[in-house]
Amino acid sequence: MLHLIKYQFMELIRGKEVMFWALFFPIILATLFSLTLTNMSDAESFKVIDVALVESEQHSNSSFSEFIHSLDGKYVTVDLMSEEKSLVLLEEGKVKGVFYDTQVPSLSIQTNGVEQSILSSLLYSYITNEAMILQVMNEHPQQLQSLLESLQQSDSTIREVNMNNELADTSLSYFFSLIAMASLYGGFLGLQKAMLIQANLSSLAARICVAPMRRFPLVIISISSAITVQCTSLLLLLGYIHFILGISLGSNWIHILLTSFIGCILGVCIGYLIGALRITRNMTHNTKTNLVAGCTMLMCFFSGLMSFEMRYLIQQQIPLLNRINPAALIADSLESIVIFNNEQMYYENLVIMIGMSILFISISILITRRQKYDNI
Amino acid sequence: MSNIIEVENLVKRYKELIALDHLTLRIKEGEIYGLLGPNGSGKTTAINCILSLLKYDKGIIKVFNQEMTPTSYKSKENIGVVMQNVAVFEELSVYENIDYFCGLYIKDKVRRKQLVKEAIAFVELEKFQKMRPKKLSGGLLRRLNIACGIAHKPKLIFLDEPTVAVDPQSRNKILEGIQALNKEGATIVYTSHYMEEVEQICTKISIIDHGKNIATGTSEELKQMIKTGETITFSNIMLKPFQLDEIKNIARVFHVQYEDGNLQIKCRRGNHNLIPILDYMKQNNIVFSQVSSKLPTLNDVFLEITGKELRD
Repeated sequence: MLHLIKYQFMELIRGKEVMFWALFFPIILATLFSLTLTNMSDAESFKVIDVALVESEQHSNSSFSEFIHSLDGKYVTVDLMSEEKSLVLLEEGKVKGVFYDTQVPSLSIQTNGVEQSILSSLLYSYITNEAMILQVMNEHPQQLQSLLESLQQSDSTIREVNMNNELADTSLSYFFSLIAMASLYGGFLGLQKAMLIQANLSSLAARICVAPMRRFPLVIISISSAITVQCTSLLLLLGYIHFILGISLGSNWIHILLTSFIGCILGVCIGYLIGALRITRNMTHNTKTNLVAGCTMLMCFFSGLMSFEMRYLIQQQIPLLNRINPAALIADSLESIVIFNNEQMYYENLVIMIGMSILFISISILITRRQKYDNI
Repeated sequence: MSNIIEVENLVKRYKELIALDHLTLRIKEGEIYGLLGPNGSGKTTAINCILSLLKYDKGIIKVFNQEMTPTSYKSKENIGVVMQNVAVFEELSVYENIDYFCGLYIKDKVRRKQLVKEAIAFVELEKFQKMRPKKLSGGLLRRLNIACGIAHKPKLIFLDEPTVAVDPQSRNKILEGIQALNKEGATIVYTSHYMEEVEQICTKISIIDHGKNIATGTSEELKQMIKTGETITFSNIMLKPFQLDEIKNIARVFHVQYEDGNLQIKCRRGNHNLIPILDYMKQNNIVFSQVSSKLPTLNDVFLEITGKELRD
């Protein structure tokens, strides 16, 4: 079996196209991100941000209001005002954002930039910790102040950044989305391997299918080789980001590697599933490759690869999507452990990812266990 | 010799199209069994059904006296397949490809190494074993394709049109190789639409058309089945209509075709068909530039049975 895994591994790493997408494309993207985001960070020095807070009379969320006030003077300068006035000031650029203290807190911004990204991440961190804040408010109101303080501490909610040496958390989020994308690019490898055990798709697959090998070991061999290649590619990417680009991804390396490893498995399983699916009768390898590429890019778009605010927006509007979007799960896992040190959220995401991987591979095996075809 | 493959009344439909129409084959151990038929006649479909890759609607398939199913692993261990299209990994070298496919059958590393070495020597690819397939010529690629299918020394080998798009020199090497495999004890099932090849190497032939086995036998037996014993052709000949009728009445002549100055005469089996025809030409002062006589080919067999050329 090792003999076959070795050759399937060699087949993958020698495939120029596959290796471009699995390794070189993420490295190129990481380099571009590094150049863009580092310049952006250097260009804008951190200062306290002026914001407006609009409280709703009917649906105010006092914990959010308290949370924002607790940041006053440290990260933001908060002015409580009417919605009309706040919008005028926002348009004039006198405030960078307007927080709405409604049942579901929200934020209005006029333009995109580092300051707006910081405001977004503040709101995002509140939303992700809201349940905890409310629980403390209801059960131990006297502890609320200390909780808010702990949330402000460097390793819990928002890390105070040194703009000269490190990237802002929002910038790190782009890298997390990039790692998510690179993990999910394992889909290309999974797809390629899935095509190799379906005799109706190629002569090569037919030759493999007539060999005296059971279907299950064939699946294990092909998936193992794809996961090995993808994990190696991702390790190289992480090494490149850390050692060559000099971007610190934090100190939780075991967690980062575990997320990446599970992300790779999930990516390979998604590709394998697409490879196994027979949506239309004449679905070619190219069509399936495009489908993997399209799905991966869509998932990454929703996870904030192109715009950090996207994940926050989805968290607000359709939170379920973030819980089932593999790219968002990977990025969230990394963010929760590196930025928020939230182990519960981290492990929750990991469990969902493992569950999805098992589900996808089970469906794939169910589909491909059929060994006789109507048409070849 | 016992039957190594038995196919009984095999029917395979693709919706309205009948790809295999009650096909029956009996292939004996040690034979080089040719499936001859035009493209789309059902040769590859028959092989895919025998290999249990394709579902079929009706019929019984037995290989090594066992009903063939996708999980007939014991039977599959003794089967080698050379696909119509070259089926190798582009990213692996010649050696690695053969080693990979041999590894699907042979677990023992030492034995596999020896078998791979022998397969490379058999197809004469020693000088190319480190090269990737894309650097090989069409003929060498076909030889690699064969080596991948036979490296594990199977008792039964399916070769599905292994010489398509191959130069004559490589084609001869491939055909010699197939005969050598047969001499070593392997039973060969060989499909082709090249009648010369089938005639050259096959010990038994089934002519397939529209999914039906229309005739089975040795090359000679098949030729005996048809009326044509000899075809005589005259080039650049001028004939009057009554002369055509007179030629038709010559002994054993049963078909005359005259077109664009060329005359084709088909005679039944018998000795010295040419002499009375030449005598007639001489007596009537009929001039021509060339005459040739041809014994029947498998194409004639196919033509006479189906009414169309093998390569139509």
